[in-house]
Amino acid sequence: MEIRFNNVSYEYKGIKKSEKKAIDNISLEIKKNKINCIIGPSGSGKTTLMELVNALLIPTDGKINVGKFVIDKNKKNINVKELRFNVGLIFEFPEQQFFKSTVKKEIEFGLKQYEYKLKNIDKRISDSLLMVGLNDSFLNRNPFTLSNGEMRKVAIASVLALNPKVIIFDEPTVGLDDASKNNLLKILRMLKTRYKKTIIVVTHDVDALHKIADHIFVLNDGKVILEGDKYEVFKEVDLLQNYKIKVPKIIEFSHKVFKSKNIKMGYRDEINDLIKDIYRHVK
Amino acid sequence: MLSNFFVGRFYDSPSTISKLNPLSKMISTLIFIVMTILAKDLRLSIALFSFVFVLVLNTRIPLRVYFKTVWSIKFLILFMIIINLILKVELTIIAITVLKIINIVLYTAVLTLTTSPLLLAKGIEKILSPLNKLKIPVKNMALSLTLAIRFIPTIINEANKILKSQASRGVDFYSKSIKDKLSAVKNLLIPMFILSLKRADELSLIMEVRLFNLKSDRTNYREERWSFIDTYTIFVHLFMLVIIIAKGII
Repeated sequence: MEIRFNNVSYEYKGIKKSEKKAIDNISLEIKKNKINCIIGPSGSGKTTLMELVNALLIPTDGKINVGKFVIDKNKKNINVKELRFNVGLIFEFPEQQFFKSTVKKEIEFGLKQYEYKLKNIDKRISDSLLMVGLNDSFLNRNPFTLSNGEMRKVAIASVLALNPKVIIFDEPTVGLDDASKNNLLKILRMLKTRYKKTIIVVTHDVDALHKIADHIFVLNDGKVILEGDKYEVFKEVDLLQNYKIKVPKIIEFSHKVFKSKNIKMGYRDEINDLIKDIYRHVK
Repeated sequence: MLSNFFVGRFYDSPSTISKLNPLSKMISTLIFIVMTILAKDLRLSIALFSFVFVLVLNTRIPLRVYFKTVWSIKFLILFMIIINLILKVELTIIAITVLKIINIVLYTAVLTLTTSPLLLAKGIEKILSPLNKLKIPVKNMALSLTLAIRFIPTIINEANKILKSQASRGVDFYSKSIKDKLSAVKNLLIPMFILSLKRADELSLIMEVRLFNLKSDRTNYREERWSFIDTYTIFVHLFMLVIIIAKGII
């Protein structure tokens, strides 16, 4: 499903007129069947961008093409229901987005909205739970009593149940321990490779997500300041640090070694590969 | 989704009215409401409207904010006009009543827009402080009020997230279907209760950890001083009230 931003701007309306636009004349194209990461400092417009794709916000200027749908200020009457069926959204804090008393009811909410045949719903719920590594024993549990990692998985399952073509994750690693983070990365990889989903991840946690990112957009003050594959983007360490944007520690380390000792080690995702590189250079 | 919902709204403007002591602003508001109720003459109501309008201009807050406030009670005004027309009430009296409503709404808007919610709560605590002698727990009430006001934006934010979560899973808030909207409200109430109770629990623990003691006297980081301009403001209001009462008697 094609997602393209054409000169899109968004300004929040409130009691006071904001001094700057949350999104300022952005044009970009989300890569199909890839993991697209949107990174940037707080207040750079990442979450706004994500909500625009889902038509939770309507651009104040420009237009967004999401497959056959066109979202712009003149078309507030687009079929948002159909659009959101194709674009799933998982919010930052899952515990703040649950509104049903059991995991089953939470997952089936979306399915009922789209009038799924009742006999298929149970299987669909079990399958989506299984995809995120949970079993049927969770079905009757209260979502508010689950651990952070489990809550996140239920939130993902509730979106996966609808089988959307595009899935957007807002800060998916916040509040997760290392094991849960790795588990989440596995799910993201699986969604891309096995289920051919287009994935958009809005994140601060570059350390965890640079490993799986195919394409990265760097946002600052509502503008895209850099985009490309992870090799192209994280090559610009100095530029990113100027904008106070975090660079993966592994890359920061390689960059420091290059700067102080003029030893070029290349891009490494895993710390073990970097250690091997260092060992090779020392030898 | 709830972006048009301004509760405890405060507009940080550099005006003299904003800098007034919250207590003087609240007393003035009370006097003004009494004045408005007592004014039974169209000319007096217009004079009071002019007075409020001057205040509005002095707050240095865009007029559209006040316009939105008045616009939000359009149905109330319309309903009142229709009822009065059905009852064959004189047009002058209808005009006076409409002006009274607008005056009170605008004046209270001046108060809430120029005073931060926490200062308002402090003002209420001071106004109610004589009730302490009657053993009414004013401090507890003020603390509850302050905490409630403090958490309004957080609760709105959470409600917004739940609504967005529903919207992203198929609830179309742009549709006019009342069924969808009622179902959204129903789904909103359970998590809001759970999250509020959770927060209240956490807050009580935090206050206990910080050795908060309700019985001890509290000091404020910023002391609200009473200045000449506060006395002057109340004096002007009282003077106007006396004139209105005198006019009524004559």
